[in-house]
Amino acid sequence: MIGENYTLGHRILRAALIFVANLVFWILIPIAIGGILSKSSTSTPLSTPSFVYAFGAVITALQVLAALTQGMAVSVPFNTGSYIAEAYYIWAATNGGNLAISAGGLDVAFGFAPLVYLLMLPLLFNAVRFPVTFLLEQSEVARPFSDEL
Amino acid sequence: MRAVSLAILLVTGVTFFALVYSAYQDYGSLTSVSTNGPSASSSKTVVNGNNAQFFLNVTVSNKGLLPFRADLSCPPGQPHVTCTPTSVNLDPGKNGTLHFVIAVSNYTQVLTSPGGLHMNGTIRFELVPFASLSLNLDFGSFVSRGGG
Repeated sequence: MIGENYTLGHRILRAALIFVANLVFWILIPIAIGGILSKSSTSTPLSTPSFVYAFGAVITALQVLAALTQGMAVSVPFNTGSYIAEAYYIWAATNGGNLAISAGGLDVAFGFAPLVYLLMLPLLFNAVRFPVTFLLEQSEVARPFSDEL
Repeated sequence: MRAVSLAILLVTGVTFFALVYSAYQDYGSLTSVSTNGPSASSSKTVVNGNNAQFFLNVTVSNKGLLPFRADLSCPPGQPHVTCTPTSVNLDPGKNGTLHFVIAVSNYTQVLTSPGGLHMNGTIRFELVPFASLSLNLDFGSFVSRGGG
Protein backbone atom coordinates (compact mmCIF):
# COMPACT_ATOMS: atom_id res chain seq x y z
CA MET A 1 0.00 0.00 0.00
CA ILE A 2 1.11 3.54 -0.63
CA GLY A 3 2.49 5.28 2.44
CA GLU A 4 3.62 2.11 4.17
CA ASN A 5 7.29 2.01 5.08
CA TYR A 6 9.41 -0.73 3.62
CA THR A 7 13.10 -1.14 4.38
CA LEU A 8 15.63 -0.86 1.57
CA GLY A 9 16.63 -4.48 2.12
CA HIS A 10 13.01 -5.60 1.77
CA ARG A 11 12.66 -3.67 -1.49
CA ILE A 12 15.90 -4.99 -2.96
CA LEU A 13 15.07 -8.59 -2.01
CA ARG A 14 11.60 -8.25 -3.52
CA ALA A 15 13.01 -6.62 -6.67
CA ALA A 16 15.57 -9.43 -7.05
CA LEU A 17 12.89 -12.12 -6.73
CA ILE A 18 10.67 -10.30 -9.21
CA PHE A 19 13.61 -9.95 -11.61
CA VAL A 20 14.31 -13.69 -11.55
CA ALA A 21 10.61 -14.60 -11.86
CA ASN A 22 10.14 -12.20 -14.78
CA LEU A 23 13.30 -13.45 -16.48
CA VAL A 24 11.91 -16.99 -16.43
CA PHE A 25 8.27 -16.18 -17.18
CA TRP A 26 8.57 -13.42 -19.79
CA ILE A 27 11.89 -14.28 -21.49
CA LEU A 28 13.18 -17.83 -20.96
CA ILE A 29 9.86 -19.69 -21.36
CA PRO A 30 8.73 -17.61 -24.41
CA ILE A 31 12.18 -18.06 -26.02
CA ALA A 32 11.87 -21.84 -25.52
CA ILE A 33 8.36 -21.86 -27.01
CA GLY A 34 9.53 -19.61 -29.85
CA GLY A 35 12.42 -21.99 -30.54
CA ILE A 36 9.99 -24.88 -30.95
CA LEU A 37 7.61 -22.83 -33.12
CA SER A 38 10.40 -21.43 -35.32
CA LYS A 39 10.83 -24.91 -36.84
CA SER A 40 7.47 -24.42 -38.52
CA SER A 41 5.78 -21.51 -40.22
CA THR A 42 3.76 -19.69 -37.62
CA SER A 43 1.89 -16.44 -37.14
CA THR A 44 3.16 -15.73 -33.63
CA PRO A 45 5.93 -13.16 -33.07
CA LEU A 46 7.31 -15.41 -30.29
CA SER A 47 9.61 -16.98 -32.88
CA THR A 48 11.25 -13.53 -33.23
CA PRO A 49 13.72 -13.27 -30.32
CA SER A 50 13.90 -9.46 -30.51
CA PHE A 51 10.17 -9.26 -29.74
CA VAL A 52 10.58 -11.45 -26.64
CA TYR A 53 13.70 -9.64 -25.43
CA ALA A 54 12.18 -6.18 -25.96
CA PHE A 55 8.91 -6.89 -24.15
CA GLY A 56 10.64 -9.02 -21.51
CA ALA A 57 13.05 -6.19 -20.75
CA VAL A 58 10.29 -3.57 -20.59
CA ILE A 59 8.05 -5.65 -18.30
CA THR A 60 10.94 -6.73 -16.07
CA ALA A 61 12.28 -3.18 -15.77
CA LEU A 62 8.85 -1.79 -14.87
CA GLN A 63 8.20 -4.50 -12.28
CA VAL A 64 11.64 -4.16 -10.71
CA LEU A 65 11.25 -0.38 -10.52
CA ALA A 66 7.79 -0.86 -8.99
CA ALA A 67 9.30 -3.19 -6.38
CA LEU A 68 12.16 -0.79 -5.61
CA THR A 69 9.72 2.10 -5.14
CA GLN A 70 7.16 0.01 -3.22
CA GLY A 71 5.14 2.18 -0.87
CA MET A 72 5.91 5.37 -2.81
CA ALA A 73 3.54 7.19 -5.15
CA VAL A 74 5.95 6.73 -8.04
CA SER A 75 5.40 2.94 -7.92
CA VAL A 76 1.85 3.44 -9.25
CA PRO A 77 2.81 4.30 -12.86
CA PHE A 78 5.41 1.53 -12.85
CA ASN A 79 2.84 -1.03 -11.73
CA THR A 80 0.20 0.23 -14.13
CA GLY A 81 2.69 0.30 -17.00
CA SER A 82 3.87 -3.24 -16.31
CA TYR A 83 0.31 -4.61 -16.29
CA ILE A 84 -0.52 -2.86 -19.57
CA ALA A 85 2.73 -4.14 -21.12
CA GLU A 86 1.95 -7.69 -19.93
CA ALA A 87 -1.57 -7.54 -21.37
CA TYR A 88 -0.28 -6.28 -24.71
CA TYR A 89 2.51 -8.89 -24.72
CA ILE A 90 -0.04 -11.71 -24.29
CA TRP A 91 -2.26 -10.26 -27.02
CA ALA A 92 0.64 -9.79 -29.44
CA ALA A 93 2.34 -13.13 -28.68
CA THR A 94 -0.87 -15.04 -29.40
CA ASN A 95 -1.67 -12.89 -32.45
CA GLY A 96 -4.93 -11.86 -30.79
CA GLY A 97 -5.88 -15.49 -30.16
CA ASN A 98 -5.52 -16.62 -33.77
CA LEU A 99 -2.50 -18.82 -34.31
CA ALA A 100 -1.73 -20.60 -37.55
CA ILE A 101 1.01 -23.20 -37.72
CA SER A 102 2.20 -25.02 -40.83
CA ALA A 103 4.45 -28.00 -40.42
CA GLY A 104 5.02 -31.16 -42.42
CA GLY A 105 2.31 -30.33 -44.96
CA LEU A 106 -0.25 -29.89 -42.23
CA ASP A 107 -1.94 -26.54 -41.64
CA VAL A 108 -3.30 -26.09 -38.16
CA ALA A 109 -5.19 -22.99 -37.02
CA PHE A 110 -6.01 -22.31 -33.39
CA GLY A 111 -8.66 -19.76 -32.46
CA PHE A 112 -8.87 -18.78 -28.81
CA ALA A 113 -9.57 -15.05 -28.77
CA PRO A 114 -12.03 -15.25 -25.81
CA LEU A 115 -9.34 -17.01 -23.76
CA VAL A 116 -6.82 -14.30 -24.56
CA TYR A 117 -9.29 -11.63 -23.45
CA LEU A 118 -9.89 -13.63 -20.28
CA LEU A 119 -6.14 -13.73 -19.63
CA MET A 120 -5.84 -10.00 -20.28
CA LEU A 121 -8.78 -9.08 -18.07
CA PRO A 122 -7.07 -9.50 -14.64
CA LEU A 123 -4.01 -7.62 -15.92
CA LEU A 124 -6.02 -4.70 -17.28
CA PHE A 125 -8.15 -4.65 -14.14
CA ASN A 126 -4.99 -4.39 -12.03
CA ALA A 127 -3.74 -1.62 -14.33
CA VAL A 128 -6.86 0.33 -13.32
CA ARG A 129 -6.94 -0.86 -9.70
CA PHE A 130 -3.54 0.53 -8.75
CA PRO A 131 -4.14 4.17 -9.68
CA VAL A 132 -7.74 4.09 -8.41
CA THR A 133 -6.65 2.62 -5.05
CA PHE A 134 -3.89 5.23 -4.85
CA LEU A 135 -6.32 8.08 -5.56
CA LEU A 136 -8.83 6.75 -3.02
CA GLU A 137 -6.12 6.44 -0.36
CA GLN A 138 -4.88 9.95 -1.10
CA SER A 139 -8.39 11.38 -0.87
CA GLU A 140 -8.82 9.67 2.51
CA VAL A 141 -5.51 11.11 3.72
CA ALA A 142 -6.56 14.58 2.57
CA ARG A 143 -9.89 14.47 4.45
CA PRO A 144 -9.66 16.95 7.31
CA PHE A 145 -12.24 15.26 9.54
CA SER A 146 -13.32 11.76 10.27
CA ASP A 147 -16.79 10.53 9.32
CA GLU A 148 -17.31 9.36 12.88
CA LEU A 149 -19.50 11.51 15.07
CA MET B 1 -11.51 -3.62 -5.60
CA ARG B 2 -9.73 -6.62 -4.10
CA ALA B 3 -12.96 -8.63 -4.14
CA VAL B 4 -13.52 -7.83 -7.82
CA SER B 5 -9.93 -8.78 -8.58
CA LEU B 6 -10.38 -12.11 -6.79
CA ALA B 7 -13.68 -12.73 -8.58
CA ILE B 8 -12.01 -12.14 -11.97
CA LEU B 9 -9.19 -14.52 -11.06
CA LEU B 10 -11.70 -17.14 -9.90
CA VAL B 11 -13.75 -16.90 -13.10
CA THR B 12 -10.57 -17.12 -15.20
CA GLY B 13 -9.37 -20.15 -13.23
CA VAL B 14 -12.69 -21.98 -13.45
CA THR B 15 -12.95 -21.25 -17.19
CA PHE B 16 -9.45 -22.57 -17.84
CA PHE B 17 -10.12 -25.69 -15.79
CA ALA B 18 -13.37 -26.33 -17.71
CA LEU B 19 -11.60 -25.79 -21.01
CA VAL B 20 -8.61 -28.03 -20.26
CA TYR B 21 -10.85 -30.76 -18.81
CA SER B 22 -13.21 -30.60 -21.80
CA ALA B 23 -10.33 -30.62 -24.29
CA TYR B 24 -8.84 -33.67 -22.56
CA GLN B 25 -12.15 -35.54 -22.49
CA ASP B 26 -13.07 -34.68 -26.07
CA TYR B 27 -9.58 -35.57 -27.30
CA GLY B 28 -9.95 -38.96 -25.63
CA SER B 29 -13.36 -39.35 -27.20
CA LEU B 30 -12.10 -38.46 -30.69
CA THR B 31 -9.04 -40.69 -30.52
CA SER B 32 -11.28 -43.60 -29.53
CA VAL B 33 -13.04 -43.33 -32.93
CA SER B 34 -10.55 -45.75 -34.48
CA THR B 35 -10.83 -48.22 -31.63
CA ASN B 36 -14.65 -48.28 -31.54
CA GLY B 37 -14.81 -46.74 -28.11
CA PRO B 38 -17.59 -44.32 -27.14
CA SER B 39 -17.06 -42.71 -30.54
CA ALA B 40 -17.00 -44.76 -33.71
CA SER B 41 -16.76 -44.38 -37.44
CA SER B 42 -17.97 -46.26 -40.50
CA SER B 43 -17.32 -45.67 -44.15
CA LYS B 44 -18.25 -47.10 -47.50
CA THR B 45 -17.52 -46.35 -51.14
CA VAL B 46 -20.22 -46.78 -53.77
CA VAL B 47 -18.96 -46.90 -57.35
CA ASN B 48 -21.57 -46.27 -60.03
CA GLY B 49 -20.08 -46.43 -63.49
CA ASN B 50 -17.39 -43.81 -63.67
CA ASN B 51 -18.66 -41.94 -60.62
CA ALA B 52 -18.07 -42.81 -57.01
CA GLN B 53 -19.49 -41.68 -53.72
CA PHE B 54 -17.64 -42.00 -50.50
CA PHE B 55 -19.73 -42.00 -47.30
CA LEU B 56 -18.18 -41.38 -43.91
CA ASN B 57 -20.19 -41.51 -40.70
CA VAL B 58 -18.45 -40.53 -37.49
CA THR B 59 -20.23 -40.75 -34.16
CA VAL B 60 -18.74 -38.43 -31.59
CA SER B 61 -19.58 -38.19 -27.91
CA ASN B 62 -19.01 -35.05 -25.85
CA LYS B 63 -17.80 -36.01 -22.38
CA GLY B 64 -16.48 -32.56 -21.54
CA LEU B 65 -18.03 -29.66 -19.67
CA LEU B 66 -18.38 -27.32 -22.65
CA PRO B 67 -20.48 -27.58 -25.82
CA PHE B 68 -18.54 -29.19 -28.64
CA ARG B 69 -18.83 -28.54 -32.35
CA ALA B 70 -17.22 -30.49 -35.18
CA ASP B 71 -17.21 -29.57 -38.87
CA LEU B 72 -16.01 -31.34 -41.99
CA SER B 73 -15.90 -29.29 -45.16
CA CYS B 74 -14.02 -28.77 -48.39
CA PRO B 75 -13.72 -25.72 -50.62
CA PRO B 76 -15.84 -25.78 -53.80
CA GLY B 77 -14.41 -25.75 -57.30
CA GLN B 78 -12.01 -28.67 -56.93
CA PRO B 79 -11.56 -30.79 -60.10
CA HIS B 80 -13.60 -34.01 -60.20
CA VAL B 81 -14.58 -33.76 -56.55
CA THR B 82 -17.52 -32.31 -54.67
CA CYS B 83 -18.41 -32.80 -51.04
CA THR B 84 -21.35 -32.26 -48.74
CA PRO B 85 -20.15 -30.33 -45.71
CA THR B 86 -21.40 -31.53 -42.37
CA SER B 87 -21.32 -30.32 -38.81
CA VAL B 88 -22.56 -31.44 -35.42
CA ASN B 89 -23.22 -29.46 -32.25
CA LEU B 90 -23.03 -31.47 -29.06
CA ASP B 91 -24.03 -30.34 -25.62
CA PRO B 92 -22.09 -31.91 -22.74
CA GLY B 93 -22.93 -35.60 -22.32
CA LYS B 94 -24.57 -35.91 -25.74
CA ASN B 95 -23.69 -37.98 -28.81
CA GLY B 96 -23.96 -36.95 -32.43
CA THR B 97 -23.03 -38.25 -35.87
CA LEU B 98 -21.28 -36.53 -38.74
CA HIS B 99 -22.47 -37.68 -42.18
CA PHE B 100 -19.86 -36.70 -44.73
CA VAL B 101 -20.26 -37.46 -48.44
CA ILE B 102 -17.63 -37.01 -51.12
CA ALA B 103 -18.59 -37.46 -54.77
CA VAL B 104 -15.88 -38.16 -57.34
CA SER B 105 -16.46 -37.99 -61.08
CA ASN B 106 -14.18 -39.81 -63.53
CA TYR B 107 -13.29 -42.03 -60.60
CA THR B 108 -11.14 -44.56 -62.45
CA GLN B 109 -9.30 -41.91 -64.42
CA VAL B 110 -8.61 -39.81 -61.32
CA LEU B 111 -7.39 -42.75 -59.27
CA THR B 112 -5.04 -44.00 -61.96
CA SER B 113 -3.66 -40.55 -62.81
CA PRO B 114 -0.02 -40.00 -61.73
CA GLY B 115 -0.91 -37.55 -58.98
CA GLY B 116 -3.83 -39.60 -57.73
CA LEU B 117 -6.83 -37.99 -56.11
CA HIS B 118 -6.24 -34.78 -54.21
CA MET B 119 -8.91 -32.93 -52.33
CA ASN B 120 -8.34 -30.15 -49.86
CA GLY B 121 -10.55 -30.39 -46.84
CA THR B 122 -10.92 -28.86 -43.42
CA ILE B 123 -11.69 -30.52 -40.11
CA ARG B 124 -12.68 -28.05 -37.42
CA PHE B 125 -13.27 -28.72 -33.74
CA GLU B 126 -14.59 -26.06 -31.42
CA LEU B 127 -15.12 -25.88 -27.69
CA VAL B 128 -17.88 -23.30 -27.79
CA PRO B 129 -17.21 -20.41 -27.33
CA PHE B 130 -13.63 -20.42 -26.16
CA ALA B 131 -11.32 -22.27 -28.53
CA SER B 132 -11.24 -23.84 -31.95
CA LEU B 133 -8.82 -26.00 -33.89
CA SER B 134 -8.81 -26.24 -37.69
CA LEU B 135 -6.85 -28.80 -39.67
CA ASN B 136 -6.37 -28.51 -43.42
CA LEU B 137 -5.85 -31.95 -44.88
CA ASP B 138 -5.76 -33.77 -48.18
CA PHE B 139 -8.88 -35.96 -48.02
CA GLY B 140 -7.95 -37.47 -51.39
CA SER B 141 -5.56 -40.06 -50.02
CA PHE B 142 -8.21 -41.20 -47.56
CA VAL B 143 -10.76 -41.65 -50.34
CA SER B 144 -8.17 -43.41 -52.52
CA ARG B 145 -7.71 -45.99 -49.77
CA GLY B 146 -11.45 -46.56 -49.73
CA GLY B 147 -11.96 -44.96 -46.36
CA GLY B 148 -8.93 -46.20 -44.56
